[in-house]
Amino acid sequence: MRYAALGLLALLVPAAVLAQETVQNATLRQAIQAYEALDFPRVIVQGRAALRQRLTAAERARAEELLGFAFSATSQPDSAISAFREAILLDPDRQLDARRVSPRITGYFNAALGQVLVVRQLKVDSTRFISGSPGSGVPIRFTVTSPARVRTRAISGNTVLLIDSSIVAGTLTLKWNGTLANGDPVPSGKWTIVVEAFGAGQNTFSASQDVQITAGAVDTVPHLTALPGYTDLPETEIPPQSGRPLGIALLYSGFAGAGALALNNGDLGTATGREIGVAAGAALITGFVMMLKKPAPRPALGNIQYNRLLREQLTRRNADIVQQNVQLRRQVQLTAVPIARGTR
Amino acid sequence: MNRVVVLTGLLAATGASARAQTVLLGVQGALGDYREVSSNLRYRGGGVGGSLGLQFGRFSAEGAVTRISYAPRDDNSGLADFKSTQIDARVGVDVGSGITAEVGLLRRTIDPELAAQEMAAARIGVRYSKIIGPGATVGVRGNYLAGAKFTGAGSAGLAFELGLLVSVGSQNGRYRFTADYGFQRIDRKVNTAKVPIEQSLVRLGIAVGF
Repeated sequence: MRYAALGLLALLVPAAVLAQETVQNATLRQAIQAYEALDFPRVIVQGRAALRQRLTAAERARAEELLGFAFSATSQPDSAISAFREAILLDPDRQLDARRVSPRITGYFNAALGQVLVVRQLKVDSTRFISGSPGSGVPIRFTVTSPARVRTRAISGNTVLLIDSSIVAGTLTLKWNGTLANGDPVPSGKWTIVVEAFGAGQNTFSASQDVQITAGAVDTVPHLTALPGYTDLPETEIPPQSGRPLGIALLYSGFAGAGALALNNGDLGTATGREIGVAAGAALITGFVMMLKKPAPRPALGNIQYNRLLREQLTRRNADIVQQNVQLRRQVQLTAVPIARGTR
Repeated sequence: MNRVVVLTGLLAATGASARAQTVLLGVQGALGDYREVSSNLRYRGGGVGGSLGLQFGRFSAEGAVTRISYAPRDDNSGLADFKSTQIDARVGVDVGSGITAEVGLLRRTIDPELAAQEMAAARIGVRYSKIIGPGATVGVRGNYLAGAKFTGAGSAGLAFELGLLVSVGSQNGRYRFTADYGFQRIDRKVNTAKVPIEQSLVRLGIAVGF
């Protein structure tokens, strides 16, 4: 009667759950066949025998799980929890389907989970986002079975980036923004997301997930050589012809002549005026020729000022563009695709 | 005369050794009017001169030697002819807006020695130049002649020089025609006796820049 009830209970565990992995070990296969025949004592015997043999990690986890089911069916909760605990340590991601497994077995399994420290169900989702954008990043989810300090890092070559470090118990969801410490986006390549849990004492566990990061192209704004709608103005101008050169020559000659006349010492008589006459004549002829000649270009001060302001404006705009490009180089579209997953 | 050679050589050597500068070498014909002591001692004459100018950024230096043969204006005065050699040296610094502050030396020797007063003085003053067209400049100059010394002793409390400068030539400064007028009034006194000196000197010439 008792075994009949337990058999019904065991029937809730579908054969597919047990047969989902290829089993090479003959003893383990016999244990599975015994379980399918509801021969739980034999399951326990064959399962224990299989564990004493050389098994792969998956087979060993399978054998422990089988023992957990058998112990549950034979009302040996401590042994069931112990077997499940070993199965979880061997395969942290091992999960029971609550719809197909009895609540009693699920309870034992969950009790086993609470007794070990593992990082389970580490998932990194494929995503595409702009690096550094608020709220965006590579989604990282995992479950820690016992309270522990959990450090999450991204590692590529010698580059190690800390994503998060906190006390966690249960499921944690993080987002890695894909930026280096200086704010630049991470370079393309393979990155490994490593989650390490540090429990009480020496109890630690780590899980990792490789992610391929691909950085998109960056469209930077080119520097300006001219401001739209504005062009340099000529910095020299040719003044109109005028009598100014002759006027200046006349003024200077008059000044020198009048000065010499005024400074003349009366005791020495009057100077001949020949010398000042020659010099003044030369000045006036020069002034007259220059009056007729096309004036030389002279600096156009207004245009020079305009050009200076234009260049300053251009310099400021280019400085803005430099800042803008710094931002653009940081706002790179990153594509994250998980590659493979490993645990240790 | 030796000093003339030394000064000219020094300026030439300075010009030749400096590469990033403008050197202006010129020759001139000169006309002069020289009066001394009273209206009876009046001379006029002509001669030749040479000059060397050096421009280095805001700084400039120039030296000129002028030799004039003076003869009395009144042929019946009984005065003897003489030759005057005047050395002008100036260094200047452009202080902006065409104004150049300058200092220098004036030295005038007479041959024969006692025919007129030989003198030397330091000069300090300003030059104001104005560009009136492509390659054309006119300017005026005012110098105070300080510490004047004379072979016949005496001193000059008031001594200054007024000038008119004209320069015209190619815009690249290679060739220039120059006119340089200088009027000197020196109120020389020996003890209490007034023995003033005045000279008007104009030099017309050409210069080559390189």
